Amino acid sequence: MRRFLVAFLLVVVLTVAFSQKQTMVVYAYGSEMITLDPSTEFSNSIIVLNNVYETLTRYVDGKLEPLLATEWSANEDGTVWTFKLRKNVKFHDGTELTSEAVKFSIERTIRLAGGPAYIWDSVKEIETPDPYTVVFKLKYPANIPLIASAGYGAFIFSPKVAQIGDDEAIANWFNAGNDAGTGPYTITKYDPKTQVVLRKFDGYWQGWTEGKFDIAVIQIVPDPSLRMQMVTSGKIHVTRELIYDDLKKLENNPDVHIAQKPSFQVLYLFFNTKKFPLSNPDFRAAVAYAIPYKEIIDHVLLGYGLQPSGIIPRGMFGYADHLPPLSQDLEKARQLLAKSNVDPKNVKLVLTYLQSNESEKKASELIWSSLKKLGIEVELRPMNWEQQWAWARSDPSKAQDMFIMYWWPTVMTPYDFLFSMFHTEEEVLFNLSYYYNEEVDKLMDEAVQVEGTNPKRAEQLYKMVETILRRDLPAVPLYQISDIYVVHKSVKGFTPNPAYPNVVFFYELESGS
Amino acid sequence: MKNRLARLSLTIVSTFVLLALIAPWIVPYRDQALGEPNVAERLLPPSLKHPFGTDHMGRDILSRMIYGARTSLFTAVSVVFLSALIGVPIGIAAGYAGGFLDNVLMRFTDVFLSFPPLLLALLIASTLGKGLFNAILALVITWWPWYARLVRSQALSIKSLAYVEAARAAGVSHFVIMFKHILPGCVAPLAVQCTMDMGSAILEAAALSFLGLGVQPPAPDWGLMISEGKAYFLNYWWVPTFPGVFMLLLVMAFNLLGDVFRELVDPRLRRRMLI
Repeated sequence: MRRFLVAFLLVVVLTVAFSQKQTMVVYAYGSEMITLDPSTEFSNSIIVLNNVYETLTRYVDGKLEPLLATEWSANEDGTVWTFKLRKNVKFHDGTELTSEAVKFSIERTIRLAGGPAYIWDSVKEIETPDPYTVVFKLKYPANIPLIASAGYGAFIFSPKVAQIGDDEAIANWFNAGNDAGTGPYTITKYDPKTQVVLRKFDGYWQGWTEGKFDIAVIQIVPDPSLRMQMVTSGKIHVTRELIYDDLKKLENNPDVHIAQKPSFQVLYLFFNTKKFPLSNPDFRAAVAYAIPYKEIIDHVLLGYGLQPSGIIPRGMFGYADHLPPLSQDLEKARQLLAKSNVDPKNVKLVLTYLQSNESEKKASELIWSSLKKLGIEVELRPMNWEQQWAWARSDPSKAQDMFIMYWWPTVMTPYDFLFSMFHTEEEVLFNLSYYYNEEVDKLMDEAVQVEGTNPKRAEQLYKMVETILRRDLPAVPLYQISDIYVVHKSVKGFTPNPAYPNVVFFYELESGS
Repeated sequence: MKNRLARLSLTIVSTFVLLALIAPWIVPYRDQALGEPNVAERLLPPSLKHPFGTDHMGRDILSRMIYGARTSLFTAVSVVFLSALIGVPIGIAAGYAGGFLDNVLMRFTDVFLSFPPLLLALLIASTLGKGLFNAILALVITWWPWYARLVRSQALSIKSLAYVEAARAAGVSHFVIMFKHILPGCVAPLAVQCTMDMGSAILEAAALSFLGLGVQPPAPDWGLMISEGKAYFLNYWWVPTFPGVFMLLLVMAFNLLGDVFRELVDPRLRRRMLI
């Protein structure tokens, strides 16, 4: 029945589109939408929100570009940031963008303290000296322009929503499929499990030119093989997360082109530093040098990825270009193993990975096989996320020995990676190596404070952290995946922006024929 | 006709048993069968070198399937044997004693019968952890009641036969009567049940592995191979197909064999067969 409904709706949309000579672009995405509240959404629905709402700045290829803000500046120690807003920007409800709207939006996000709200932790108060100036006063120095570019929790929405009622009433109104953004598109139909239809907002401040799409549809298609068929036949125009073997085949297909960039998503292997034998630094190093990094990239990702030299992904500032990437060296691994005085016969390492993730599974099997060459037995345990995370967060001396996990940032700063995974924690959250090092804590805490005002110094500090992490090896990066989209030839202008995971900015697309 | 089927199914079953027994000596790629990746030869179609192709980690599917036969047969035999081991004594005791004890034992059996096997397996996997032994445990817990019921009904009818009455009159102990006089009478239907159940046990164990609750990767198992191969089915059909065909063959052979046994055991059917 549902399938019939979907088909029916698609037909309706198509007929509507064609009868009015409107152009339409369809993006097929694998997972369902979750919520639509721009203050709290911390999951898949940002692929909708980033087309409907805008942020003060946008992160493009390592640099910040103005969006709703045209310029910004800081005081000397980076505790007061002043943003000048763009004029003549209208929300979808007709209200004009003013500093009050910015203050209202960000204060609501902070007040609701939902998923991504922590990015604003440094903000003490927001002032609005005039309608086009916003001043952020901070508790401690932070890089507010970067934070304001986040793909989650940094959206600006119309203060008119306050008329709807309390915060909960507003959230319900959003989740029913309404929006109050300044973005190029507005939601016309929202069915979180099957389809979201966006229509262009005529009053968009950047204007509309010939070739841009009137209607943008996000179609939920969970099966990757089906997505591939749909994009090659032109039924849909953009998609992602195809099976790598299928991608290889598409490379020679003239009907589609593959757009890719290194993403900021990195797969890490964590070692349990609080449990024998991986508590032994030499043993840990032996394991780190036994892992077949190149083989993993070649055969798990079929080359669609790279190996970062440190924890911070390549393409982000602070990248550890002063270190060579780790590589497999079984001779060195054997020496380290001998030096560690751990008899591999007496140990069995448990490695957990996400059951549903094919890449994690393959990588785990390659690790299993290469450690066998050292005589170390590994037991692979595929688990679901809640289970493996709960286990890792229990008593470290009884937890798994190795843990595989992807990390991707909310704010495009090295601190997002280093703090989450290697900063001392009172309660275990994502520091799944249980690595506690005061020096590392201090270096990264200083780095993030000077990031906005003294990026050179921040970069230096981040690199120092990377050097220590390389020495101690609490975790190793296995690979950084490429952000890959398959685009039908009828659509032009697409470039992936990995800072906004899974997001297709429909406004940038143009029909090619 | 029946005879030919009997011979065919017996041949299939014994071939699989033989393959499973001598697997370590005959498989062409022993390391790969046990999980060693060979990434240079991923997803190769069937050829002389790899008669059934290779899987997503480049492992020879034929070798893994032969090893998988070991897992499947081991699981099936253990499930059936352990179920019978629990079910038969309970069934005989209930049928022979009758009355209150019969009632208690049978209600106890009913409790276990009411567990849905897959849900119970999920529960066991989440509390005791996943793995082949826990999968076997889950199956045994839900399967033994069938044996208890079967044997009880046999015991009920046998215990009123003259030779059992005579033994009781002669003062033979209950224990001896149960196991020397009644049990042999239950063997024939038990054999039928066991043979039929072998096929179902293979299927259920594969289902558990398919769901990720049974055998854990990279160990070879048919259910697991099908589960891993399903993502590749559209473009690399051989990855899940051959393990599926193997499983189909073996399960079908066991079922046919069970049918043949039943006809041998049931005198009315036997007469028809002899004609």
